[in-house]
Amino acid sequence: MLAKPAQGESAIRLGMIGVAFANSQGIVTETAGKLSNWLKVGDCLSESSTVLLGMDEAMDELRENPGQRLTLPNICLDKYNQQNFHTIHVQWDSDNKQFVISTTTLEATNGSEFDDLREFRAQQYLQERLEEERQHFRTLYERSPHLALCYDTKGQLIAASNDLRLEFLGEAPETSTLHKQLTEGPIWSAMWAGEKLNAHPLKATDCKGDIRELELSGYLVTPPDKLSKEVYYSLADVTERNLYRLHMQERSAELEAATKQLRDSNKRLSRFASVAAHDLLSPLRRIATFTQILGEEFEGPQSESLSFALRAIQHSAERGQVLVDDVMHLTQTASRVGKLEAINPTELLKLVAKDSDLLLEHSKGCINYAGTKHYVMGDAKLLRSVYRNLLSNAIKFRDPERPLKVTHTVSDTGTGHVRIEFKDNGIGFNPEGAEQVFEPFTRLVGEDQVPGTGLGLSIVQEAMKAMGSQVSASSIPGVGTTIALMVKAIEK
Amino acid sequence: MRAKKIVLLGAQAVGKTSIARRLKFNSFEHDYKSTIGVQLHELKLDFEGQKQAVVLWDTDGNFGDKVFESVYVKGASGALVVADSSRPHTIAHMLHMIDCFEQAMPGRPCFGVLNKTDRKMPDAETLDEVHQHTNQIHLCSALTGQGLLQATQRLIEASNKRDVTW
Ligand SMILES: Nc1nc2c(ncn2[C@@H]2O[C@H](COP(=O)(O)OP(=O)(O)OP(=O)(O)O)[C@@H](O)[C@H]2O)c(=O)[nH]1
Ligand SMILES: [Mg+2]
Repeated sequence: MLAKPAQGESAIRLGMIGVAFANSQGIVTETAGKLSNWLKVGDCLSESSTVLLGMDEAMDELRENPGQRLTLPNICLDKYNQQNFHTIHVQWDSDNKQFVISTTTLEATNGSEFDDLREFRAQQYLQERLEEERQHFRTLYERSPHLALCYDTKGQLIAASNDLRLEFLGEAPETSTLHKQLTEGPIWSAMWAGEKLNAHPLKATDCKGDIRELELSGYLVTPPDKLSKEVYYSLADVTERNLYRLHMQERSAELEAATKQLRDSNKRLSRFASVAAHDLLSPLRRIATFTQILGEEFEGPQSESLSFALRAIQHSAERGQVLVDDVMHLTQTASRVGKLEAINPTELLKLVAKDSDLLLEHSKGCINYAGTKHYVMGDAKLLRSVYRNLLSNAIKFRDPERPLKVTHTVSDTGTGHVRIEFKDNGIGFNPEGAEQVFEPFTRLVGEDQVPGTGLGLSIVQEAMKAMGSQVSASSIPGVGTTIALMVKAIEK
Repeated sequence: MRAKKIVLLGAQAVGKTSIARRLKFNSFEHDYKSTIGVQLHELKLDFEGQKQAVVLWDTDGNFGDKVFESVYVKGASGALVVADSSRPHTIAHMLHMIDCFEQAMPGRPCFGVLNKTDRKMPDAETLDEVHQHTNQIHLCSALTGQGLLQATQRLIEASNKRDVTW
């Protein structure tokens, strides 16, 4: 009585809309017609196919009761909104040990036979909506601190809520200014044109003669009988609220002005710093040059103490120049941040390391690159200066007893940030100083031991801040220092 | 991963089809075209970094609780029972349908969805009443899309937990 597997197509020709076969485990072996969109060969009926999903038990039952038929009526299997209704039958064919899934169309058209039914349901729903809106308005009458009004076609007041009624309408509503505005002129004609007013601003005089600011909502209601049309208004006295809003606007304008002032003074400050630095630099350069000339003039058997003094002056002048350079760098870091771009931190460090090749060689250092190949969002110039400072710190604070080893590890935190660890095996510092190291001019090691201005990590921190990123330091004395950078990951 | 069958239940015109449409096409229609019978929607949801296949069974609100006598609910992993926040009787119906589902499919997750919150938020009294009945209630709107994805994901989460304890 049932079509054999190879006869799917002939089943279709016999008038079935779709047919499919599945083995005793419920794995689809053949499909044809309408059902082939929904059941694919190899699908497990109860696991991945759409129609019989989850129905393991029902299928067990079918297998045990040959002849029993599972009927799924009125299933719309088509792409969205193309309503074609199918009834799907599932049956166990005990002769061929297989499930047969067949479908007939309840309605092969676009479902227009059901248009009347749909229309009827839509009407029902509209009636309910209308009733609900009336109910809503009734509760507005009862509870609202606002004024709710209802007018008939002739502009006669049918009902009004109590709260503000006396305040605005007084004993003789018809003579109030509000009444006139609501039953004549543009508002009234808007209502009859079927427009809905929502929070429409309005001014009206209350019984004390004060002008109040109101917000008006209103619409025309057409009951199902289409005769007794009514206009519903709801008014809120928003005078206080508007005053408050104005106050808030003034406050935020003040705030904005203050912020702008702050920004301007910051700009002035950093401009001052760079001008001052520039002015400091040229005398320092001159001191350095003249000391050198002086040294050359006194070529020959100089007294020991004179040449020592000259060297000291020159050294101080050079140090002064570096210091001024660094200060300038520090104050300008925040204003230098450009558009953030995708940067491969590992490649960037390799570039920076190339610049410091000689120094690295001198310290017998090497850099290991570890972790993932994640890109970060950063400003290339700033990030380069971060690496330059970190590398120069690692070289400066290396342990003379062992060759310098830097490990650079990149890892994705999964929280929108990439963590970059810059770890060295230098002399380290006392962990209590971990916060302090970022302060300008902080040196946890005496200057006589290690050269530098103590601004390196401050520059690193400023640069990271400017890119919206973070930096932290940890260290074990005698083992090494780890600087961790949290940099924005690129958006996927 | 095994696909999940989720049934959308609830009174007529509460927005079941609109919810399915929002989840599948991320769109909305103001026109009300009542569902006749049942309509199937295949979705792929991102879930805990994996794609979860879901088949939504968008039922005809006119079935009422007779839907439990049909095969539509069979094999469902969970149900979203929808009500229209602005029509109180649909909320009562939702609570009734939640009871029915829990009886027909004990242990399977079943969430209440108060839809159309863009039009009207349910008042405190209503919420109290609903919460006395079930603590799995989601405030949603098919118009704005608010809350829907979350409700669906929670439902899948709950049904996964159940699968593990099986
Ligand atoms: N404002 C608003 N309207 C909605 C929302 N969801 C649905 N609607 C409207 O409500 C009406 C009914 O929506 P449907 O999605 O067809 O309702 P249904 O539950 O599928 O109805 P049946 O299939 O007849 O059971 C339509 O006019 C929708 O536009 C919503 O979140 N907000
Ligand atoms: Mg529908």
